[in-house]
Amino acid sequence: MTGRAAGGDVERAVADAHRREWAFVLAATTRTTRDLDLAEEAVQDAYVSALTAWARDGVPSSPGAWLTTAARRNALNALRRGQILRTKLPLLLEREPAEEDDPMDTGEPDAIPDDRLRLVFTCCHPALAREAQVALTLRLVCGVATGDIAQAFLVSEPTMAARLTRAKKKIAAARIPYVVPAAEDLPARLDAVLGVIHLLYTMGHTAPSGEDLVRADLAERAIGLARMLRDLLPEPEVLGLLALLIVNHARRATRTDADGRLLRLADQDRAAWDRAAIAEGDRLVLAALDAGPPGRYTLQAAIAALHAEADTYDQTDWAQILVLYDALLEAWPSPVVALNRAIALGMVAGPAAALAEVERLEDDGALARYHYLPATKADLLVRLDRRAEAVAAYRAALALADNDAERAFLIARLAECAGAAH
Amino acid sequence: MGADTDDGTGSDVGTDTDDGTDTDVGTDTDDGTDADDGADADDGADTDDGTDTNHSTRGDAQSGGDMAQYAVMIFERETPGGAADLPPEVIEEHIALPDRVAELGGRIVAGLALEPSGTATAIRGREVVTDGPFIESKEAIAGVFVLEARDLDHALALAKLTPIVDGGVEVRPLVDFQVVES
Repeated sequence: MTGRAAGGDVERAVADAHRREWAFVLAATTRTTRDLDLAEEAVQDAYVSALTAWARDGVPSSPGAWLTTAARRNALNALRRGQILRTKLPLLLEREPAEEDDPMDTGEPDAIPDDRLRLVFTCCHPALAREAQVALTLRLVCGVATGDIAQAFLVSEPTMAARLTRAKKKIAAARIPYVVPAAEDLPARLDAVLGVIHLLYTMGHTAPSGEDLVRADLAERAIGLARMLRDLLPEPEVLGLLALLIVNHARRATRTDADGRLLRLADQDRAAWDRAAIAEGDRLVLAALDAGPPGRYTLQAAIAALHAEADTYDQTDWAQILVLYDALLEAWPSPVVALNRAIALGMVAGPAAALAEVERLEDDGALARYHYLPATKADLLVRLDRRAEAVAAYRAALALADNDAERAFLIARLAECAGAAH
Repeated sequence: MGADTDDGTGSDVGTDTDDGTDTDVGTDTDDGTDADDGADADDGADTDDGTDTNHSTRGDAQSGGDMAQYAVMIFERETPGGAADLPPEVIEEHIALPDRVAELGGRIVAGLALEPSGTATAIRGREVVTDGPFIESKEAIAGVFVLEARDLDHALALAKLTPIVDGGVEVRPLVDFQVVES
């Protein structure tokens, strides 16, 4: 204990502990309650009581241990008072010898096991819908309030609360175990976790609609999760995903101009990119590449790093990027990847070759609702000086885009192009 | 242990349809021998005392051999003859299924094979009798079996052993009608 602390300091310490320790505290409390709802409430109350207790006694040297002890005590008291009846469908976890004597033993601070991975794998279990996985991860692993998650998903708070409750009931009723998956299941299960973190970042990076292009909080949550996962389970693709997010995030300041308008990569101010972050991302990419045949996140990160390291758009190592896209398309056959590969092809082999590829994707139909396809096609048509066709393609893109910043960008391009065509 | 007290809300499962016939109540016949470690192909040298790797024991460790029951519903693209059209190797796999499930620490409690959905009769509400299955779709329920497993991961691993021609299975937990212990 560090003695009495001033009010502002205590609030900061509690907020800090919320950001840093929530997952640890909830995971450890869940181990003893075997009930996610009960644990969540007990942890919430522990944070509230920390405000007064830490102001009185000083901020503890190990806030996570203090909070876990308090949360476990809250849960035990709730059970004793009978306010919360023990569920008949407890979470499943294996018992460890140390726990057998007293499952509610609040224990020594250093005896608290780190259960964060169990919590993550439970939230991202493939038996849960992807949206539920993301929402549960935000609520249980990151401690984000239900109302804030509702905002991120553009639904009402009661809707989100119901969604979270349904997911927690499925965990209990179907007995999704509170464990780290077995080795043979790990690759597939880890992939689901990485997918959730990536989606979370994407939600933060490009809001699906509305005015804010960057919801920095969600993006930073995603990076925090990826860092946590790197510390707990440093598999190559975990490094790859972390690298990808860090490098993309390093460029966030330049995605839009001062008026919030979207800027193309070619037009972004590279001096404003976060060089330290890009260097960190690059080190992670190299470590992931060293570990064996690269997976999709590592390849995407390698591509992003090459973009970030180039002095100008034209000086980008497009040939190398095209090679990486070929590998990526093999590791992760997706029409979106094929579209991005076409852009790289355009830089290596010229716009005509790229346009042929984009038109092939257009005929395929898989990207019929994806506004980047007509937007890319329009850019290539401009380069080929086929302005009238480019105008039509920009219009098609505009009809599909619903993010305000992206719409504004397309409108500007359309005006530019239509002006030149006449 | 604490697993047996009802949580009082009663509504937590929401699908309580088959009351009255729940012969599965409290029959928990898990024999405690737990020859279950084969389920985790990563080793084979586990002792079954609950102290092995963190991937295997789960259910039994935390509530004394407590297993959960799941319905595994087999959906197959329909053929005119139904079960009679099944290739012999699929039938053999079905016959071998209970033993394979047991080897991996689970148990098949009961199994039902259904005639093709063309033989079905639906009763809508309690009155209207119509020809055909309740829900028309390309894939129809061809059979159901009840599986005992430690948890969902275990149940999914066992359900993946089901021989399938051109469809798949749905795994659903059965409502647990355990009686409240006083």
